This record gives sequence, structure tokens and C-alpha cells, in this order.
Amino acid sequence: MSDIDALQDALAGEHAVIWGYGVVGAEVTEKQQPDVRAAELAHRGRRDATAELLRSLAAVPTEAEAYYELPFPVTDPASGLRLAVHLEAGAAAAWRFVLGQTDDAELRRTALEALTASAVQATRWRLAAGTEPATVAFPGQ
Amino acid sequence: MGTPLSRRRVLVAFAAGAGALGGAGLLSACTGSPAPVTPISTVPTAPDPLLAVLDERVGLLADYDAAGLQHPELLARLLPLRKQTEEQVAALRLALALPRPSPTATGSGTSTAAPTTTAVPVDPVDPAVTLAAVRTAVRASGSTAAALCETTTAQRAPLVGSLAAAAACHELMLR
Repeated sequence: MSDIDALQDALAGEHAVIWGYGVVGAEVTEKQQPDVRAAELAHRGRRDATAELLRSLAAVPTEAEAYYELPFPVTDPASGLRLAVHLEAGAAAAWRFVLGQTDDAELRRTALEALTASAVQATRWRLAAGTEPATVAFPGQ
Repeated sequence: MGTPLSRRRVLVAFAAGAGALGGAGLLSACTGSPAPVTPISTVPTAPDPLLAVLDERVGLLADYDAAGLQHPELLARLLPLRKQTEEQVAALRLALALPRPSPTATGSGTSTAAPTTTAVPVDPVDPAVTLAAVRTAVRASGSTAAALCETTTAQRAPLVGSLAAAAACHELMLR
């Protein structure tokens, strides 16, 4: 697998996360809406930057799917937060994978920023959900 | 073959100097012959940079212990972080092909020869001051890992990057 393939996977992951936050937003409480919106916006920015990066590498960025399968039923605020954790953990994994697919320092930095942002956001969602511990030893693994 | 202690010392000295070739050191130490260590011309002279990441995580364990000892009310917050840091130390030792520490050996000094693991200053009165000191140490360990993540091998980059991300999360928990 090349760094472009890994970036395409990360981009596909970002598409899925953005779609998933639509589901999260439909279920969580009013109080949590601003946090959901901010998290979603962060991923929109990441998606656009990744697509741009791929274009700069002469690759055609992967498009979003029309629909994604949920990993479990999302029916209330609690399962909504669980999905939010799942989304961020998935994004962290995709970006962690990119790290092992390139020797380019700048791409490593980009991937690490994304991995770290998702790991921190996952921690925030676990805190909001009251999940303990709120951190994991190896984010993205 | 020497005592377990002297064997360990050989291994540690070897790992500090030879980095990824620690596996070969393990083999030679077990057969009681250190001879194969020196003739390898590709042995790098600089210490493996991953050792610095390991050292800082080992240092964090001492920081958590010192902070928890002085402020037991912080233990509930610190213990999960300490446990995960222990897992990270174990993973780093594996990546460095270092032997498992013996039960009698304490954390400090098992990774490199230099005993760099002096715990952070603990405030006798204010847990917030102690917490801030631990947080600073965690952030420093994250910066070390983040910097190494850019230059390390593709094989190690995911682990090192994960450790940098974990430090950012732990920092959040110490606020």
C-alpha cells in the first residue's frame, strides 16, 4: 500500500465520520449540539485538506458514499455519544495507519495532527458519556 | 552464564548502544558470550532515539507515584493514566527488544544507564500545583514522541504517533 492509498482510506474515513456526525447530532441532547457541530466542522476541514493534498499528488480524491452502515443501533443520546466515540476512534485508526505508510516528514506531521485531534475528541466524548477510563493507552490502535 | 542481574546489565548496556539490534544482544548474553556484539560494523554509535521516549514514560510513572503519594485525593484521576503509561512502557520495551524488567528492579534506570527519572516537584499543600507539574511532564513526553514520529522508521511511526496522541489525551485529563 502506498501513502496515496493510505490517504484515500483516511479520506474515506473522514467522509464516513462526517456522515456519522449527522446521526449523532440527531440523537444527542440540545446542550451537546454545539460540541457535535464543532467536531463535525473539524472533520470537514480535515476532509477538504486531505482531498486537496491528494489532488496535489495527482490523485483523484475518493468520493463520499451515499449511505453508511451504523455499527450498532443509535436511538438515544447515550448511543449517540457512543457512536461519536466510535467515529473518532475510526478516524484515529485511519490516520495512525497513514503514519506507517510514508517516510515523508510533512505527511507524518499531517497524519499525527489528525490522529491526535481525533484521539482528544474521542476522550472528550467519553468524558461526556461518563465512560471510564476516558483515555486509551494507544489511540488509533 | 552470569547472575540474572549481571546478564541484565549486559543487555541494558547493549541496548543503549545498539538500539534495534537488542535481539542479537539477548541471544549473545544468554549463551554467555558477549563476543558477537562488537564485531558488527553496522552498530550505530548514537543511542536509539526511542530510548528517550521510553525514559520519559518511565519518568512519568515516578511522577504519578510521587503525586499520588503526596495527594491521595488525586489517585482516582492518576491511576488510570498511570496504568496506561505502564502499558506504553511495556510496548516501548518490546519495540526496543529490551528484556522485561525483573520484579526486583524498579522502573528507573532500566532503559538507559543514566538515572534520569527524578520525579516532578510535588507541592506539599496544593494538589493543583502538583497536577500542573505532572501535566507539564506529560506534555514534554508528547512533544518528544511527536518530534520522533516525523523521523523514525515507518515500522515505528504508528506506535510513536500513538504515544504522542495519548499524551495529548492524558494532558486533557490532568487539567
